[in-house]
Amino acid sequence: MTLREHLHRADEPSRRTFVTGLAAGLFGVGTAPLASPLSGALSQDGAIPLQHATAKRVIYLYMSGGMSQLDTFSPKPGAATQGPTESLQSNADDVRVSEHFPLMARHMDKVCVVESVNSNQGAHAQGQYYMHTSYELRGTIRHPSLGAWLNYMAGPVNKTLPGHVAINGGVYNASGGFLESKYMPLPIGSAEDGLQNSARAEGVSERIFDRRMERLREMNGAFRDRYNTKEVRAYGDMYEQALSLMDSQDLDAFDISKEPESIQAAYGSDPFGKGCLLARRLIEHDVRFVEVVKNGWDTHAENFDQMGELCPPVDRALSALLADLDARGLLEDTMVVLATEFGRTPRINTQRDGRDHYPKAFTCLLAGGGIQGGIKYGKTDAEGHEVIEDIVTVEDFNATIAYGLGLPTEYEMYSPSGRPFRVAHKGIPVKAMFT
Amino acid sequence: MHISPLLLSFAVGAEAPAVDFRKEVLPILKGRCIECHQDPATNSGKRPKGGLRLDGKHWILEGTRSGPVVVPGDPNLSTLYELIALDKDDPDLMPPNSDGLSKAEVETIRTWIAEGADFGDWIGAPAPGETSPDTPKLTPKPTGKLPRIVQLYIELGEGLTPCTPNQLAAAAGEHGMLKPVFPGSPLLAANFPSNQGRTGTDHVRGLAGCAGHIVTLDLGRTRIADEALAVVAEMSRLVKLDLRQTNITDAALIHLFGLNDLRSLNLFSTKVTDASIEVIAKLKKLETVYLWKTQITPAGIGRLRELRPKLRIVHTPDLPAPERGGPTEDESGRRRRR
Repeated sequence: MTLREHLHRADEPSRRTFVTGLAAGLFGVGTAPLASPLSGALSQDGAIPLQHATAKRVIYLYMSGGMSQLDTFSPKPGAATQGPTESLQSNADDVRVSEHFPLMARHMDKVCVVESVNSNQGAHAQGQYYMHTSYELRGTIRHPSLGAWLNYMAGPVNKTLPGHVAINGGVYNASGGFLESKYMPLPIGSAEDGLQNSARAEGVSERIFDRRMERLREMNGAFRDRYNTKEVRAYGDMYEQALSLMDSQDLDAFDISKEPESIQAAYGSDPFGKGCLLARRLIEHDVRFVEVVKNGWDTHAENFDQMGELCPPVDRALSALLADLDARGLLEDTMVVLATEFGRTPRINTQRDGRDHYPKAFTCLLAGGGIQGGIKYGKTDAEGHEVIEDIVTVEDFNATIAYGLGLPTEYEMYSPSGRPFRVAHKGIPVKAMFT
Repeated sequence: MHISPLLLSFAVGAEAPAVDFRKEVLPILKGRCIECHQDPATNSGKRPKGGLRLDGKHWILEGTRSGPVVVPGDPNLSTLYELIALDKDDPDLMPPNSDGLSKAEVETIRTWIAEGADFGDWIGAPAPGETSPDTPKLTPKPTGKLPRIVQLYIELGEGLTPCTPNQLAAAAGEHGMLKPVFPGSPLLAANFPSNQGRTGTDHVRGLAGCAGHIVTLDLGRTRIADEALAVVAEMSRLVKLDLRQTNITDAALIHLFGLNDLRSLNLFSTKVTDASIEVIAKLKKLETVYLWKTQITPAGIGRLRELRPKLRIVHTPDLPAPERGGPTEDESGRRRRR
């Protein structure tokens, strides 16, 4: 496979996965094959006892392709591996950021930099899947991602909006897995366009529309009663969910043009900035889990030139998001996560002036929702090759998010085929990251 | 010349210090070989060249499908040595597309093999199904500490009898949601999700039945009037009150006087003015107050800061300035990017 194909695969949801996600998220119908409908094994929303929660909602910013840790949030000034990227002192004593994050340098007091993340997956698809689900990619099962677990275990808060939304792709990784299809994320292809086709068709009056839906319920009712299985319910639920969404007072949440221009300008005009703004609007309306994807981090070649393009929109959008959430009082119980499938080699690939995949020691961020800001957790050596203190595996990282959300990490849930799974697999929450 | 392996190892063995794998051989492998000969999982999924991995003891000894590459004691039967010792113009020379290793490096590897290829305590990438002692411990330091807010809820809830299901149902009414702050706690978190626009003062009054149990109350974006806060005055354990984006005025805040456990007060986008500064300053335990988009003036903020130097006062956020390279219009009126 050529590099170009690799990049393409890593960054774009395929047409098929997009369509699958759309059908599932918008219409509540999964196309993934399910084992026998042992629906009894799945409990109802929110029936699982939660633990102490410090966060209610998550904005999950996903840097797709593998974000370079040395050129972003874990610079190693003076090290041979640092290359030409300079670094800046942030407003938190122990935290330096790269020169590409001058705005974030003023907000690191809100952020916990996790410098010792460790994965065992060095390829994009596998790494992304692992980061999202805490399980390795397998041919026989699809695991739910964190957003699906949260809505499944804790239940939705807003009853008329979907509890799980994925912006700018990410449909492939943010997934309901083997859970009922209503836990699939609602995919939003472009934050600017918001939610499409959510109004009654022109020329169909409310009266006619209601009458049609009434007929539909009549016709479906008997069948549904006779074959009351998960799949059959899913088709019924799809209409009911779509109806409650069409009727929702909160539909405006999807429209970022309702924001004052100064706010829109602060987040930036690129898809990631707009996605972050939409994410803020959605969590304000109690959507539980919103993922926003930023593509293009697979910098095998011209790493240092590419950083100048990739980082500024993230610097801007993340600063705006943290400042805006904080000023609205929402950062107290909203956790903002910045994650990626792996980091990039400290060693510079001199032939192409790039950095290659490096799952051994990389950096992710956590902020808000009870997380202690202004700190660094974990340590790598002077050149960034190895974790030398407080390793945080991908599973531990996800367990930490789950812990903040009050999700029991020990709880075993059985898939339709009867296999036990946990929200962050074997991960152990890092309580030291909380205030 | 062909030297008997036995003789050679004997001859060298009699001499002083043997080659130290970690100090002398491993740096060569790491610097010149492992990039192409490693675990696909650490190398973007790329298979090791020639099916040979040099990133672990097991793999070096395993060699390739065609056989071992290191024969301990016999460099001349060891492909690893053979391929690094070829002439500079030989197409099979390793590493490829280079002038090869230095003479000293080749000699180090030759000696190391000749001495019996001792890896010392090095294992490197583990054999399938084993874990390497070089892999750092996977368990982070456990700390038993609970988040601060959770500790507070545990203290506040001590000895309190939980509300009955009937009380809860009556208090929640048709729009409200009351949930324990964590399982087993008598303390409650109250909000009105998905119905803010239809939630008014009467709905909030319903909470009176469980007032003493409520520690967090989210009235954000509801249509409450100032009088709604009369019931809040009875919430003696209230820790967090969210009034953002409501029409409440200074008259509402009068009701907060007795809330001695209030830590967080959100007044974002409300009509409160400088007249409320003194009231806010008297909330003894208050840690954070949100005042962005209120009618409180910079002078008011200054006054509050004076009265309560340790209070975190969140007002105008430090938002990024608009992009310089944003869309602009050129003479033809078309939008273009700089």
